[in-house]
Amino acid sequence: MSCSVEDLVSHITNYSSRKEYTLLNDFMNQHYQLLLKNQSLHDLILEALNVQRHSLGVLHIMAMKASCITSQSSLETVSQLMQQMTVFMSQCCQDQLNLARGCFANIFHHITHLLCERKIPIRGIKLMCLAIDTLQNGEPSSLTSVHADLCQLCLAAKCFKPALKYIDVEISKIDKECGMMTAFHLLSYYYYGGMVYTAMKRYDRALYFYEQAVTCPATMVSMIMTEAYKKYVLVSLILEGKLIPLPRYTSSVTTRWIKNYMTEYQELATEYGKGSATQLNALVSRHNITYTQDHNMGLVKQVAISLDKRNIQKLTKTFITLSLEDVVMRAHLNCNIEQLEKLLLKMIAEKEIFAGIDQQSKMVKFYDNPEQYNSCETLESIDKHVQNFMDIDNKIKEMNQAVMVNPLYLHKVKSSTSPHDEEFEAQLSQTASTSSSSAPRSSALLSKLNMFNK
Amino acid sequence: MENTFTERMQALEERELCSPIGELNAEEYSELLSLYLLTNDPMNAKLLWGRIPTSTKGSSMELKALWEVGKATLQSDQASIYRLVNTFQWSDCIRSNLIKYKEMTCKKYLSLVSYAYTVIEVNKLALLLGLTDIETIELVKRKDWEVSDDQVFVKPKPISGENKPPVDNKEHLARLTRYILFLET
Repeated sequence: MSCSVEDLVSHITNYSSRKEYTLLNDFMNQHYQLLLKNQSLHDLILEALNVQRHSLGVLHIMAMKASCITSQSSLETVSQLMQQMTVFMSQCCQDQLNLARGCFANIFHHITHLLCERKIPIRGIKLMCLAIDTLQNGEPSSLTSVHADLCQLCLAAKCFKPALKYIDVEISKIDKECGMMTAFHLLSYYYYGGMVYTAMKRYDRALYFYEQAVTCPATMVSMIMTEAYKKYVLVSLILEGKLIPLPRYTSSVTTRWIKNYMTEYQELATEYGKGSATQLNALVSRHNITYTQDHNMGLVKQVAISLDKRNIQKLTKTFITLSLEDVVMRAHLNCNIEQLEKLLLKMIAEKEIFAGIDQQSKMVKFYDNPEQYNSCETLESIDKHVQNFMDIDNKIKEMNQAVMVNPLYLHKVKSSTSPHDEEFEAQLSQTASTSSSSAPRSSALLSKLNMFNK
Repeated sequence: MENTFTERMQALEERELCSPIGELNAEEYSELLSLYLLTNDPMNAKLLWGRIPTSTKGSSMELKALWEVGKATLQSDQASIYRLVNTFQWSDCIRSNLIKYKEMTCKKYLSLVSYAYTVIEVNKLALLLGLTDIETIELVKRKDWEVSDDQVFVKPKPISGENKPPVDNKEHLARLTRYILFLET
């Protein structure tokens, strides 16, 4: 094939006018290397094409253009690519885009890499948000590979609010992106997402995200999983005061790796459990280099602070009144009375303890939790949780329905049982009863069953 | 009022992300920083300071002073908060935000002291509230708190929180009906 602008444009327009988008996709993939070498043609081809009618062709050319941008390219080139992608996303045809989702996502991976190299990550955040919205196409619980890029840029730019909007949504679907979504993107999403939550001190969500990264089914341990495990240990100690064991479904290869190679962090968890701040600080000094190289020193310091708070909290279970000096001694704190008072005031403000300080007699009185759970706030909190459960239940019902009418599932059910089998009939009646609320779906199921029976 | 601050904050954040170079000017950074403090979000204030370019930080005395207020907030150094807010020559927009922030901090610590302390020294309370000793004694007397004869110690009384309006009965019934429907089906 000759590589002239007219030939390429005519191929793209002909395939697009006949709506043979799959053929166009194959054509562009086959001639990828040839087109990649002719960088000078890219802008000319783009000028001749219409974004809305020839979205697929434009997307492939944009992908080639993006691949040609390197670390040595000028900043204007990168900015121009970003502007062109913004215009593309506002005008493209979604049906054509769906045939090359992986190619589309790859452009943003490359842009993320370029921006991070040039230390200007904030400029790409808005673009990544637009890309995620385009790929999700109205399904906010769908995970794309661009989620990880957004989290990475937000972490580099120290601007977390745009990422929170996407990572606060529970994932119920993973976009395959035409086979280009890999474990790397999934692990990166959970690892970077966990780091965003850790920076915002939302340790419960951070722990969940790190756990997801570590418990991903694996036959080999990846670096992302090891780094996620290190942060999992530290966040677990800060949040729960102990190392929460990993679930039983964690891969055995991961469990063995942790046992053999994560000794510094296991020792930290063991020492934390003993409750001595002095010993903990000694251990931190011993493994200072490891924690610093892992960029976890900040979190380790927070672990040490959380141990002081836990020791104070333990005292509230044993004593009703204590002098401030006794608190310092019994909680093994390394501070004076004024610093202790400041710490106690902070803990009382954050409702970590319930106490009253008497400055005249230098005593502190510990109270029980005064919460009666009979206020409007409690009602609103319960309502929010119940609403959450209801939404999750609806989602599970929808997913169940989708599996029930899936031809692969029906084939497996039919092949594992005979049509006259009682079990099969019971399964069928169960299917009919669960899908009784959605008549169209049950009739689709029955028609598929009829198809198999013929 | 809070909605206005939140809307303005969101507008400035959006402007920062949409700008071609991903930056605001010094006045906009100052306003955003003051809004983070006002909406009780010192964490985002710290992150904002971390991403402001060094050249912008160096060019604006007001921005630097505002960060000192933010730093004092993070370190729970109330005395420094009040001192900095009172002494620096703020621009009009920032001054109005910081005056509200000062009042908010004073109210917050008065409420905290009411349940965190059984007895507190007057001068320490004055530091937390940003008032003189005499002003502090007058304030606590109005709140019906007990002051010792030598006017050195104060015994706080718990301040009842603002009561939220009770839930409307019809809405409550609708909510319960939704729960029952969900549990039954």
